[in-house]
Amino acid sequence: MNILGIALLVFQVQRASISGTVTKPGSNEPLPGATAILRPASAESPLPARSSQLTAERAQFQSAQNSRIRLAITEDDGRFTVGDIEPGDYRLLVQSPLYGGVAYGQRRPDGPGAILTIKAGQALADLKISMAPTGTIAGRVTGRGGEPLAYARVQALRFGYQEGKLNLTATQITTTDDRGEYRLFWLSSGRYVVVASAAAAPMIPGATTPPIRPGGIALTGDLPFQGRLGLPIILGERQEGTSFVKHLLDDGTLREESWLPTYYPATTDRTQATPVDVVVGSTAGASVTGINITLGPSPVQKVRGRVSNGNQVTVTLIPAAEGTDSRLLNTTASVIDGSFEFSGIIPGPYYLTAQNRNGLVATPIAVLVGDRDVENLAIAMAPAITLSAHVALEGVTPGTPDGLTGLVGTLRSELVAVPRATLTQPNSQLGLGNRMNWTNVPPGNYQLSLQQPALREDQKRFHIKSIRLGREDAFETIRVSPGTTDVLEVVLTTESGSVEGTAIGRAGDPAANVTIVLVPANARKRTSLYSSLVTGNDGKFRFQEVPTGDYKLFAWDDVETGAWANAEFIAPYESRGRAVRISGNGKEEVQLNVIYNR
Amino acid sequence: MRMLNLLLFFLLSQQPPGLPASIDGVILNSETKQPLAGATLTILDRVTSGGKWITVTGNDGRFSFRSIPPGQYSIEASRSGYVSETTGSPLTGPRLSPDPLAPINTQLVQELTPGQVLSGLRFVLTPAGVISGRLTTERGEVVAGAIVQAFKTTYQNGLRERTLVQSVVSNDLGEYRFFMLKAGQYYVSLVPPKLAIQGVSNQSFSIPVFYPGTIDPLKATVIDLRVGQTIEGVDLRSIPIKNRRIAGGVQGNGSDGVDVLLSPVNGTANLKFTISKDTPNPTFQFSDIVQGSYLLVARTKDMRSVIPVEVGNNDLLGTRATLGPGFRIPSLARIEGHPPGNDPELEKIYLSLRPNVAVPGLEPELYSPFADGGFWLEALKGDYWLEIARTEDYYIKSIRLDGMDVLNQGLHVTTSVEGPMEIVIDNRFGTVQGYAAAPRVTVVLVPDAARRNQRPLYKSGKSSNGIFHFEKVPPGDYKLFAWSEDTIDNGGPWLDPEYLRKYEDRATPVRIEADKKTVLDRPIPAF
Repeated sequence: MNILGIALLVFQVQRASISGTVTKPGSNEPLPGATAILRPASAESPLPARSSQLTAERAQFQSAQNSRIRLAITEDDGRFTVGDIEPGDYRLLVQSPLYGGVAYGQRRPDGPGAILTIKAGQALADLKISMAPTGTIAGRVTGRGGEPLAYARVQALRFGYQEGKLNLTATQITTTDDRGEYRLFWLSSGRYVVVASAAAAPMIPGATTPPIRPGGIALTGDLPFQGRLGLPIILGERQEGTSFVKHLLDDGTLREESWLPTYYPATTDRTQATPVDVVVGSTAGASVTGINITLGPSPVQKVRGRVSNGNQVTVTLIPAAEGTDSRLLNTTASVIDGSFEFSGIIPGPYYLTAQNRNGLVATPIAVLVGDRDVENLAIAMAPAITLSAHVALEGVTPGTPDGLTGLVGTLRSELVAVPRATLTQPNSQLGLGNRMNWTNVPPGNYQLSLQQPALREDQKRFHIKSIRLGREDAFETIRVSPGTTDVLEVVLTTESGSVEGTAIGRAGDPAANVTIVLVPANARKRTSLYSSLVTGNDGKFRFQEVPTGDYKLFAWDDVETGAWANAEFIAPYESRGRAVRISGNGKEEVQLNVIYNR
Repeated sequence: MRMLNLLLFFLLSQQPPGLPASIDGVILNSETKQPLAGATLTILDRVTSGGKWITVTGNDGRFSFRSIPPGQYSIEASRSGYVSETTGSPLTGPRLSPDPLAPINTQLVQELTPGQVLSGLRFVLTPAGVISGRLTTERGEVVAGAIVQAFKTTYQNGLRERTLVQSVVSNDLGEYRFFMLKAGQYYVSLVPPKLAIQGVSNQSFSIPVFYPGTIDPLKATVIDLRVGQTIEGVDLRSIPIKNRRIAGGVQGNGSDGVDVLLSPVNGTANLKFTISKDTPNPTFQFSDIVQGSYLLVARTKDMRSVIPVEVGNNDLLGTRATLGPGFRIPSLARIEGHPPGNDPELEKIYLSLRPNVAVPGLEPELYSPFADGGFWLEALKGDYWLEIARTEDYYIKSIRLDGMDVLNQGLHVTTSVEGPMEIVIDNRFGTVQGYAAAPRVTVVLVPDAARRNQRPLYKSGKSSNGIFHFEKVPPGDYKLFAWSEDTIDNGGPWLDPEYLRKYEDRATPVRIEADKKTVLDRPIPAF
């Protein structure tokens, strides 16, 4: 045996292995043919704290992590053995094309799963993993005359947290068959809102979308799965002008109706929907049947008004309720008298905005469409505001190199519940004299976020230290009004600190697999100041490169992702958070008691 | 729900403010010929997008709209569970095209004056069919959330093809259901779900399983669906995947990137595996391969290799694909009647080398001779047809290689030859004209039995009034066929000998001579 051979032998001796058994959902029946995947824990969050790695560096890291992934297929008795493991932190996932995916030790469906710290030469045996049982909601969609409606789109909506707001997202979408029947499946436990909407027969064969598998696993040929927040809710096939139907009544009057999304059992008002509870046991799936929905046309309204000044004004109607069809409606005001009209408008809250190419904008108007047409809206156009910012890096003499080149600032409107891609988000790149300018800014409240270009190895991340508009503190909210002429003063800092510690469980021992959240003490609207992670086997956690300031640390045994940014959610826990002050290059060490909800 | 069905465009007068127009008519069931209650008639203002007007038929199947503002509308009749089949309007017959061989305009256009009453419209809806069943694995487990596809046989360039008609997803009970199907012959296939594991280059792929349980579509059972019929119990069971692997290496790619494709013979699934550049003699591996026959195609931008692979009970780990330009055949083309020497016309001519059996990923090669007529054909071992391409001004009169009739017998490439292969091109055509016994037909000119392999000799055209006229027909014996528009697939089923056999006896023979006009004085029968 040559030297290389001996080296290989020694190397292999240090490799570890794990083994276990996979069972079918809700039973002890072994599951053959499932894939056990051992994935490096850090593969999911590339390199701690520094998110803007250079592309090549990141790719290299990724491929190094990928090379540590190990797979095994379960045998007929459900057993698997994963060998040839380098020591390190891993997560164990089991995926099956039939039953979806689960993570070993996950606290909730789609949860991250426990970190397995595997030591050299270790043989971790007898891990037990059961595929997650799921629930089904089934029923029929019929017209008001009881006739089955085919091709109706039915969605199971669930509340989830997005940027601190509790919003409905679609967890599964399906369509009814020719008998009007539907089955929404692979649902986890929870309270659902079921909504049906009429849709035309699909033009393209093969347009049916497969449901999301438990654990969000992908199949070959699937489109990449976009996050875990769920699908965007699709309400109605809104094509301006064709989404409504006209009926000429016998008395000669014209009635306009539209097939509005209808919530179980038969309401177009979401707040009146009867929720459907799916209770999936740890050992059995659940099936809720008879969730029948009646669909029919409901009156739709017109929204009319006049623009008092300006040429070629584009008027835009923006749905304002969260979780509604996010497409915007545009119309052009008449050149003769400035009048505009939107037809076929579904009742609900909206915002009306207007702008033209000559730099005129209107202050957004809130419009509530009810059971009659909205008339006589008056829009006054005013010169658009140009907002400027001056950006400075703390501790750097003006005029000397500060490395801020390439910085991009984005103004995000607080108008709607959740920022949508369809809403304009003015961007500005840092220009001469460290200035940023946003033109055509409609009046309203905004938040400024900065994107730093890819970091070089010797560079540090910038953090916003303060934002002021005139005498006002604009760190959380920038109030732009028609008279705004002040320049935003933005001060950045490279100062950051870190905090680390141990989560302490009920028995006073280190708590593994709990969620640690760092919440800003003030400025709770700035979502970029939040961070979270899950403790490893030793209960330890560590946040690095945290912008300096006051924070609170929380540890939850089980918490819904993002819930902590919601004021209502966090209020009862405030007293159980632990205040920490992160100072420049300082290091805090804390012991944190875990909050148990069960 | 509303089905997008009959679409009929017509014009109302564009002169507002005129008297309002009105429309009435009836919707019928195509099978019972009885009025259809509960059907929806929708008229859509096509100009102003001002919304839809809808009405629902009563027990007498009748509908009427009064006081419709003048404008341009499209009309649509629909009912859940029915599909459109034909439209009948007493007002307008099929619009006759001035050019008999131009496609018939299937959109019926009618201009109405203000105040006109458009009366007696007739829409016919056909009851739709259903095919349903249940999916299980070979172990009897329910297959939920899997894609099931319904195909129909159609023709494309004369080749029988499966065309996807519908794609549905099985529910949590493993049940699937195709509905709104027209009558016809269907195949059903399951696409077994297969994991894509993030971060792992996964070369396994999903091969469709055809009802009742085969990966070979030729062995699939045809499901014959009659009008309005519901066929249940079309259950599909996935085929055990024995986890066979095909692995090997590619030689002769230099530093070029190589695509390796694995394609089930007759199958629909192609697995493409791209090997990055700068890797001399790269390796490949396909895993989870179902037993069966495949073609392994390796190709760079210049070179290729095609190997038939039979996957049985063992892994095939030493598969070696040697890339090469193929065998060389010196060729010489000339145009009949042109003087010897350089002929610039030859440089404008393209010849296509079409493999007898289409290989996915390999397009027919195109060649153009030099002015002296010379060029080199390069081909892998196999059978080919050499055809004229991109022009209708010339045809190939003969191709001879070592005494063989390559034009009609094909080119059998087994090795390089000395040649040269002699190609004679001609441009002296004849014409033929006549009429079919019925209007709305597709007329097809098919060469005599000896020349049936020459695709460019087939000519086809649609005729609304039955009159046909073919120009630029290479001289020789032909047969004329006419099929009614409603029965013929546009993808050239007449190139399929099996299809043609049924009509052969009733076709009309015709002889075409160079520079002569042939006129048929009797109508040809329409099928």
